[in-house]
Amino acid sequence: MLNITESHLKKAFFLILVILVVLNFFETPHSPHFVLDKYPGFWAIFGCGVAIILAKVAKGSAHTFLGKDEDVYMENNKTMPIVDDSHHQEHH
Amino acid sequence: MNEFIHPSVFFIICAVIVWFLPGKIARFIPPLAAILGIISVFSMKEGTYAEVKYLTFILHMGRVDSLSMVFANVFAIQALIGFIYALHVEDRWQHMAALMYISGAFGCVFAGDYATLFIFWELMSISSTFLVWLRRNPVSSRAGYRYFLFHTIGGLFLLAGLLLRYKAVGNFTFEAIAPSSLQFFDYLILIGFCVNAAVLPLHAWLPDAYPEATITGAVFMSAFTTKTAVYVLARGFSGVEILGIMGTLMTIYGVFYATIENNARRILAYHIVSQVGYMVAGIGIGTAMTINGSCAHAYAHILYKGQLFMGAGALLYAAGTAHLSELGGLFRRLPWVFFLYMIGAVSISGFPLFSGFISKTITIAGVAEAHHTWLALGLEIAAVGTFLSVGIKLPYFAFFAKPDSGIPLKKIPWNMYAAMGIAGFLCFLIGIKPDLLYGLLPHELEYEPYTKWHVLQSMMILCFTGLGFYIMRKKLTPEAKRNADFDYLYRVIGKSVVAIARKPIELIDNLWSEFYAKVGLKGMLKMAGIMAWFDKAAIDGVVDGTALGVKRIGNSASNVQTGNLQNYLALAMIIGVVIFAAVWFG
Repeated sequence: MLNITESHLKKAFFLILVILVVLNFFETPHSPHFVLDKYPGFWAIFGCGVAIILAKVAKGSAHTFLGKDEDVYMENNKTMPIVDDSHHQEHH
Repeated sequence: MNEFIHPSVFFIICAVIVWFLPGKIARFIPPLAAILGIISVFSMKEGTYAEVKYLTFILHMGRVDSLSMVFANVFAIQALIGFIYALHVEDRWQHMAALMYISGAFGCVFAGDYATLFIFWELMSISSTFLVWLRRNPVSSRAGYRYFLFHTIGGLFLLAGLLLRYKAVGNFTFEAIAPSSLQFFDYLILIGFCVNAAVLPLHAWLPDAYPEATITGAVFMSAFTTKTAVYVLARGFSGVEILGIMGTLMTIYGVFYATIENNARRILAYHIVSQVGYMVAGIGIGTAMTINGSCAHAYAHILYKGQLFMGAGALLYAAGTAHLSELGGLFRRLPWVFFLYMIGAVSISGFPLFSGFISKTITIAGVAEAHHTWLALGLEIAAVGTFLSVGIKLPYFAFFAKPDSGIPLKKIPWNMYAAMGIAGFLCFLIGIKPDLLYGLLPHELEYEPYTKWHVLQSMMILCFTGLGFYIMRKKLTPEAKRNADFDYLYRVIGKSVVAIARKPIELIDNLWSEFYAKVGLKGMLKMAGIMAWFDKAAIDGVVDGTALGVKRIGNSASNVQTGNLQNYLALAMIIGVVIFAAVWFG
């Protein structure tokens, strides 16, 4: 029985990343659509970079001006109690 | 079989049958409607059928061509999957709402003119509102009401557009319009369509209402409303360039919100905005290739988005919440939900071997080949965001992240797993046999998704998105917050309108009070003295006479007012009939 730990998975993941970039040196697009995508590794930097920037910008916005209380739409609600009884409604 | 039987017929008949049956039995009826629908759609031949004369118009209910066939095909399949998923639901009202909703969707797809389209369009809007309301809690009551308001406004735009158009051109014909000759009324129709396609900034109803719908209702809604809108846009407005830009913005906007949302079903709802963005962008560019891309993507999207909503619905069903901040570590107890959800997740992210890969890349390649380089780049950015939020963030924080939260889980019924199994299989099948889907598309398609470069490029983007997540995973922890969207803006505007309207009235009221206190009181007292004299001397005599008359009328009125609601309704109806008859024959 193989004993796979988290560090094994991590190593395998990084190995895959390296293999992909190495392959990119041999396989390039026939007709690059964007100027930079003829260089090997462009899509690697693109994927990682966009993910980080998106996470930073989105989380930053959520923390500054977008984040509201989760029941922001239940304001002025004096008569109806907030009960999430959907759980019981789905089956009788 | 060459005959055309409109699939809506089966769904409407079954809705009536369901009405008369107890819930325990009624739940087995809807899948039958779906099976009959599939048979009907798969045996259809292209042509024009079902022209019904109504007043002085002819309603074209059966336009069957290559474009309507793609959508009808996947609608029928998804209807069956959805009803299998809902097989355990004994609330027959939910089944009726879903059946009417789907019959509306088929009606829109086969509608050959704007009048027919509008009828079914409104049928969809009303019945889907019930899919939200029938969750029966205050949150969904309110969300459903907002949803209905929004769609009513959208429907009114459509109605205004088609009526003005009728006045100008004299018919309701629904055909493609050359983008250069768009008239004012065409823009009104376009806005009506854009509301249902959740095009920015008219999209807020979608992430607002879908997460509050019933578990099974959300699965249906994710498939039909926006995709019907995509169909009518493809039919009427291909090549309208603004759609290309708006679509690309939608793709990024959707993933932006999905990255910070906490409610799993709201994350998925934002991904509908994002994915429909690909389709809208393809329609906006309007080449044969991008139209094909939009249709293919709609087809694939209905299946994998249904799969994702079913997965998130199963989580909600079992754990009683879909809020990621309350979930975590559920992998050991719900391994199959995780596995089936992930099939949807890798499909939407565009992993090779799964359906999103063979559909999304057509649109992106088509947009790039039409030399809209910036739009193509935007679509690639959204692809990264898709995998980041739906492919990694959602499952990571629901199934892993923390040790098992110990939240008590309810047993998930077998039919939910069965439905997810079928949808997952189809996502995979289309992924490995793309020609099954490509053969259905409206235009000839010369596109090979499985080239070395396409596979390598996709794998690089996706795996390095994974690296990005790995670096940012702490920061991405979901928080129990709701993020303001455009609907927040509407509310701010609404409140300020009320405030602005109230201010002058308050001002006048204050001034009057002051005037009354200073000037009015003395004058009033004097006036009152005169009035009292006048009252005693003149009025009393007259009024006493009238009062008797009033009393007499009151008595006969109270005979009519029995206090029974049914009597009132009957009376109202009789009065209505009388008025109608008077107008008709008068």
